[in-house]
Amino acid sequence: MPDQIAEKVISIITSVKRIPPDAISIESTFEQLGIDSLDGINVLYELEGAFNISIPDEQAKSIHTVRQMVDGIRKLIADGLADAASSRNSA
Amino acid sequence: MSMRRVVITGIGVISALGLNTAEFWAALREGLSGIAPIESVDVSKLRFHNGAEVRCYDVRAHFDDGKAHFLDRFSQFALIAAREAVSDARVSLSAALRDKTAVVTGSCVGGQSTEDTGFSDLYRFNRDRVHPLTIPRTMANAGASYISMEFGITGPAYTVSTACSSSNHAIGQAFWMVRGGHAELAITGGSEAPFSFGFLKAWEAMRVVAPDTCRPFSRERKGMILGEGGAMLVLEPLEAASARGASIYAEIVGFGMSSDANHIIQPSAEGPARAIRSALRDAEVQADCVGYINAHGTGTPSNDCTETTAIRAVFGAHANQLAVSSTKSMHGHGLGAAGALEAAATALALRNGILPPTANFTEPDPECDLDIIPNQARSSKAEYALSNSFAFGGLNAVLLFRRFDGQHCCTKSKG
Repeated sequence: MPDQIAEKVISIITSVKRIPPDAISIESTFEQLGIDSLDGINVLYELEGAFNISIPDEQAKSIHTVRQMVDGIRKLIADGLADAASSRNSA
Repeated sequence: MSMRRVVITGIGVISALGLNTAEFWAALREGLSGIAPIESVDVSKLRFHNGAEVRCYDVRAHFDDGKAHFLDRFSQFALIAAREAVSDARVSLSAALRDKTAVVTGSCVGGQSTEDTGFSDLYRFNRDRVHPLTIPRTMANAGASYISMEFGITGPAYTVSTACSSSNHAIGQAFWMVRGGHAELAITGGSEAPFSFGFLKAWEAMRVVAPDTCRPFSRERKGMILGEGGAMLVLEPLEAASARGASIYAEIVGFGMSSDANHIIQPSAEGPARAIRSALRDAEVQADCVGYINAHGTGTPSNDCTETTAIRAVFGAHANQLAVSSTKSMHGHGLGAAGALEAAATALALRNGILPPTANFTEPDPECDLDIIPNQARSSKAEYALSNSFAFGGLNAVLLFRRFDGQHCCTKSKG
């Protein structure tokens, strides 16, 4: 699953920035990739749709690397699954 | 045609700070913010919940039933502000004067709410038609058109749409028309009514709206807060205003424009600095004559740093003597109405000798190291004041005002 998240994140950056996937690594910073504020909100929009999550503004502001983005999404997915389980248990 | 001095003889404002100019100014001088939980839109599916809405607004108090539905909320605000401004100016609009009067308004999104409602009904309920007033309610020039019809103004009338600089571009062009003799009077300003669910969702996606409030220049600022309203000014040549014994708020002495040619949303310091210099040059006023700046001051992390850099680039050491405030902290970011609300605030500040504060201020940001008049208004004898508007798309418009009280003291002015 983690690899799939990383692959999807890289695929979305590839699509938004029109750069080849092999130019992006998990350690890449947004600065290295030339991701500015407009690219950033585009990437976040695509990620929210791809993973069916909502990325809070405050969390988004603290993300500056591909790894931070992958870790953040993993956590949001886990929190979402936990919330869903909690809802089922309390129902 | 020789250049004429241009003065403001009427002001009308409807905003989150009240339904008229007196309420607007009373709130500004007290540092009271109109930012509150949004009531006109269901915010349960939005990441932000606060806005600067016009409250206690009863459309029937301003328009009869037969007319109200012809006007989107943004046009209503334009017309209400224009009515107050014209009444305040106590000017008699003769047929000859009406033919030489200009109406120049600013609006970023026009009848956004009308469009949002009409189109969502079309898509959601599979309707096969929209209301026939959708086009005349939505068009951004509707405000200017209704002002011209209300007062029988047959001179030039048009609307400028340059996002957050719309009203400053509008007022600047009206100022130039009166100064250059192309109009004998102008009604100018702007209006906006951006509170529709679709448009708020679009702002949410931009990730620039604060979840709490608007804290321009504060270290912990988290973004802008959307506002609505309208503000209009009546501009006249000084000679005509004096001849009829008009009360004068302030003089407009300069207007400057520039474009960043850089990025569609990221601000630059160079473009704004060039617009400020251009306004000073237009007025032939030295930079160190300026005592107050009503900043663009959106409260976003990037704008406030960039604007600080631009101000320091233009004013050098004099930046330390300047008072700077963002009244968006109180009336919100009125988008296409922002420049008009802030022009009214700046003229009232010069007239009253009181500079409105930057409200909601918490702690200084070293990257915004200006005297930003935190939280409390202060007395001032500032003679010249700037009002900045810097739009998405990198389009900048700056107005320069001068106090009008016969006590001009700055010897470095050539004007």
